[in-house]
Amino acid sequence: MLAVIRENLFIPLGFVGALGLSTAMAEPVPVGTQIDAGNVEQYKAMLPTGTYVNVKAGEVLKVIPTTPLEQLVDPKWLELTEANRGKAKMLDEAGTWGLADGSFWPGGYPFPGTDDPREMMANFQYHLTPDDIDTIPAGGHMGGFSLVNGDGKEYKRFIINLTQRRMTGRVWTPPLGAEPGYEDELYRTNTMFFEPYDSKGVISMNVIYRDQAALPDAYVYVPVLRRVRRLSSSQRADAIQGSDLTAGDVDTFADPLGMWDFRLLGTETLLVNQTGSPPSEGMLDNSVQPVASYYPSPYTAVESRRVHIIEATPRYSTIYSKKVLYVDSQTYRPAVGEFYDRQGQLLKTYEMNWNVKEDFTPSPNWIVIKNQQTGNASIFWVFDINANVGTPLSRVLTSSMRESSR
Amino acid sequence: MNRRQLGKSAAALALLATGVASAAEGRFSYSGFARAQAAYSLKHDNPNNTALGLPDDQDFNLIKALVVADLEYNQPFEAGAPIDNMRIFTRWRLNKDLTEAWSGGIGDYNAFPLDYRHEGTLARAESESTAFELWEAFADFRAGRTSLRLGRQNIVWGEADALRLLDIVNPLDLTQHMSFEAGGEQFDHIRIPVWALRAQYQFRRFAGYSIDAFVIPGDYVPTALPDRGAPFNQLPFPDNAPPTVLPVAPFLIPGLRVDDNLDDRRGDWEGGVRLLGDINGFQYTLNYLSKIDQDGVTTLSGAYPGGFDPSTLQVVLANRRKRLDIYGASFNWFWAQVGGVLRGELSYTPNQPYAGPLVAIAPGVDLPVTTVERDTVKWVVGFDRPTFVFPTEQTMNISLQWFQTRRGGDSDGITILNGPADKNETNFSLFLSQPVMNSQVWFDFLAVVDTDDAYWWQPQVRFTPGNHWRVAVYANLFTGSEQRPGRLGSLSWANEFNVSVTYQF
Repeated sequence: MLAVIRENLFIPLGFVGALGLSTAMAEPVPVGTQIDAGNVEQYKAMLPTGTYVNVKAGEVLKVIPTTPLEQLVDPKWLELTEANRGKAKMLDEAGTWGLADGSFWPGGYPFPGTDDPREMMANFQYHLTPDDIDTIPAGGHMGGFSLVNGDGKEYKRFIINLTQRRMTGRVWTPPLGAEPGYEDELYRTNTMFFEPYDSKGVISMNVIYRDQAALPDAYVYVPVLRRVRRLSSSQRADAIQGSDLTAGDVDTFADPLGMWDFRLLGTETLLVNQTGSPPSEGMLDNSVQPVASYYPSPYTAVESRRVHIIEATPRYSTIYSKKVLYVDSQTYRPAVGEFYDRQGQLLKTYEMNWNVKEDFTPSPNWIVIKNQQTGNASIFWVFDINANVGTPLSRVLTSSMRESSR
Repeated sequence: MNRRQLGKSAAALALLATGVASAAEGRFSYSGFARAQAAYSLKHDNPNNTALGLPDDQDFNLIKALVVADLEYNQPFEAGAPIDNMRIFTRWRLNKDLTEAWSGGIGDYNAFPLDYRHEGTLARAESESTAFELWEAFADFRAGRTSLRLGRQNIVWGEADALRLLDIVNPLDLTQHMSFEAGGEQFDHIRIPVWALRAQYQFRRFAGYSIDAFVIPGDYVPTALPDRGAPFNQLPFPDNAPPTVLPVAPFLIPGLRVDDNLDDRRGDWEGGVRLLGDINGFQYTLNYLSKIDQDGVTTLSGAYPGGFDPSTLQVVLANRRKRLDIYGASFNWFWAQVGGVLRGELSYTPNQPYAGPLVAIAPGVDLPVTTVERDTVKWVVGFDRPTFVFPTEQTMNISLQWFQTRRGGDSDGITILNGPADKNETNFSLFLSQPVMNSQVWFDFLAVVDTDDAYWWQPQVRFTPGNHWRVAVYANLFTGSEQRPGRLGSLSWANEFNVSVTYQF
């Protein structure tokens, strides 16, 4: 019992010796410790670089107990991971994974415990374990997307719904396995805009393929055109709606794996977020204001976790020279991304702030994407998200997109 | 709760339709905008009004105020209900045309001239300068793989931008500003919604395939043209001119009357069907429409030398609106190797009616006396590519289109708007759109090039700061030596500088 209490009250810092840190810094960080600009230097070595620079700019961290894996990921998913252990194969150089016969991956993390960064990134594709995420009822207001300028002033706000529906590897809601006819896809996303008016009724959809050499397919229903337009998804670094988010940045990394090279920089114990993020619904009526204009309010929950630090370098010409991704070694959920420009300077930080609900819905209550060179930021705040609600196929078909618009 | 979600309750209609136990929480919302718009005329001239002896030197082509309110109710249903979702959408418009009142150089005219039998389907109360309309009103139902839309609606098919090949289900309201609105709004507020039933079914056995069909049970609406005397009047001849008696030879110049039988078409059905398919990412449609010509063809009312009404001493022209069979297809394809989307659209109309050659029926009066039919093919190929042109974080969207009309048969035998028509017409368009400052400012540019030397240039700057205010400044400039009616060069009198200010909510 004492060991359990200790585990939950103190942060083990086993890595500090390897990093040559002072004995004083090796002291555990008590649960409840608040880290802010005033004391961040003391904890710098325990933080991702992106988190460190944001705390210096005003973000406030609160240390919470380390969460057992069984509270972060549905045990059924973990059982499936064990049941399918060893069955996954990399099918090509790009990083397409599946069963040895080339068929789709049936579910669970495909490469548990791997030390190969490309296989880690395959696991990363399942950081959202549900078959679908949506509101209840489907298609409702899920969250907001605030654009903040360099002075910390919000100048534009979108209200959106972002649905993701898995097309293969379905394990929770029928049809299980694969959606018939769509066996070559991983998942589809559908984003509906409700506000402001000139964005209302805009619905974008992406088709993510199993083939990791294939670009996604992208479509948008444009209300003023009254029809679906197919879009080119080739410009992965194009800013979405003028925000700091790009198509390839969603959840820190959303490109086909074949477009990047990966290198494991290390697996370390760091203070990162995986759950416990405070609710963001107050953003809707402005009863909650972001801390220092940019960050989760009233704090960012962090806990001590083993984190894979993966360096991704692009195989194509883009605005980034590299990304450094901090991915939890057990849940494969992203915690922090650091994106560097072509000159090697830190351009953007991407901080995920999860709250795993009792039904294991991973809710990214706050996502802060900040351009560290301009001070502009895009804050995504989610207040209503549910897993496995049975999102119908029609929600992710181009032929149905107009039904939610005019 | 969002402030727009005024009420949350289950709709009585929905409950009746599916049973009390299966209705989930519904959501009502409202949104819309108020806009003031002015188009300053750069030429102060409309030769069509000049020909009619009407005031023709308008200072402004358009001054208007438009308020649009969208009221929407969404009613989802729980699993097991007969339908998955129901949605009711209505758009209300208050349209005030201030051009006649505030612009100099313009005479009296009706800004909302559309008038026909049983016009109550327009759901409009109007005067000559104000219209209050239930512009759209439809209900959507989704049940499994089937969806229905019932009510006054727009139906847009095809892939082309700024062109209408298969996007011809709804007629256009050209009365106030032709189709000269900028950018994506070119047709949005001028497609006249029609009362229709539209159904779509997604095939279970063929992933990516669906069928989409509509029927308009009788709400035939023609193209709405500007009134004679309006800044954009397109008709240089009167619709009912009396004869002129002279004291010298030829002593009598017959009058002219245009009989338009559009009322006869009210009540006739129209419809269409299309198959949507997907072959390895190559998406296509195969279309068929049975449509009544929205414009019609105006020729002499009787076999030449007939067409003269001795009781009124008028030459009588008749506008005939034939039912057309239109076959079409469209496609889009993401060309990953070059990072762009290739798209195209085709329509084939057998026996498309045209006005025949002009015949001198009186001194100085040349009119088409016959209707001739030509198989007509229109096609467009477009290519869109987002490209980083400037060192910003946002791409410029670059769209190119190649549009051609090809007419069968004898090219000398047809006229359009009383001008000789070509056998083939070719146009190219280029659309550039570059957002800057995190999409708070947009620079757009549209160029349409008629290879017979006619051009339409439309530069635009849009300001989109914050959530509420939108300002657009743009020009419409028509140039070129190709001056035949209906061609871009003939519209140079309509050149204008346009400003619109919008508050959206």
